[in-house]
Amino acid sequence: MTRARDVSNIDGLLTAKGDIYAATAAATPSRLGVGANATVLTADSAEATGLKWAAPGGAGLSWTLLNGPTGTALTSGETVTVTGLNSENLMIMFQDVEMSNTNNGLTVIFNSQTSVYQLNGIYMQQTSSYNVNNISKWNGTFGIDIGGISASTSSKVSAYVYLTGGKSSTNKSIQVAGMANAASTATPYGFITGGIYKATAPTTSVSVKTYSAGHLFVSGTMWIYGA
Amino acid sequence: MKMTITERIIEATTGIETVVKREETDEELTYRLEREATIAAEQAAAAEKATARQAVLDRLGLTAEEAALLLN
Repeated sequence: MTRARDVSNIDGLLTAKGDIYAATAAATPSRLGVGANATVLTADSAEATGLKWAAPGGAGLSWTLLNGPTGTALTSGETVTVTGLNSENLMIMFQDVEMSNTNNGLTVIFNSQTSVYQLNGIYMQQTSSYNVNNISKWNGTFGIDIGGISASTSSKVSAYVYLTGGKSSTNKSIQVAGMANAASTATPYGFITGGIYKATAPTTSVSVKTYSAGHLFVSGTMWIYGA
Repeated sequence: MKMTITERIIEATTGIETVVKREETDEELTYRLEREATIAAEQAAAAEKATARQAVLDRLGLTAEEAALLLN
């Protein structure tokens, strides 16, 4: 085949706007029509051309409340565990969690696992009724600390924990922020941290724990969204 | 000494709840003792600071509320 005939044949392959050349084998050009709007060209060895148009990965997370319709009430016990999770991404929120004792704090763990976390960030404690005067580094390994109280049970903790990689069986990333309010003479504390959950299995449960036996949940809500 | 804790286990979809009483794990015990020691140290430091602050307020003749107004 001459060079001129090759060019003529290739020109004839493209018949519509957006068409591209794609080889089905060595020296075997063919036509690949454009995909739907917003799709991207993706390698796929199962296709004749080794290519296809597909929706881009990771776009448009759709979040669903998993423990709905009213979340999980944190009204008793020292540990509350929600099971049956199966999401790649988890957003876990704690709203106005009040505890029965002073010197109490909240820790979150996944799959009932402790001491498999590497969290680095900021620890904050308000040690008087009118200013925050203790901000320092925080390195956590036991669990995911989200906030607590030292001197008043009228103080409440609000926080979130965001986990990505829930379906994988390896390291997952975590983002955390939480703080108690300064009710009365409280010396509340909180955290802004992030890091890695050194997992060996998909995440199927999340637990929130007060830090000591006899230190009970009184009120508050845990919301778990998955995507 | 290990303590007994109450764990509420709730299935996300059905909401079915099971209550389990169990002993602290070794790691939970260690963490609790660490937290208790940390908080005790923080409280001691806070008490010391509060005493010093009160001494300053007394010398200046201010109430805590008046001092808060000045600081904020």
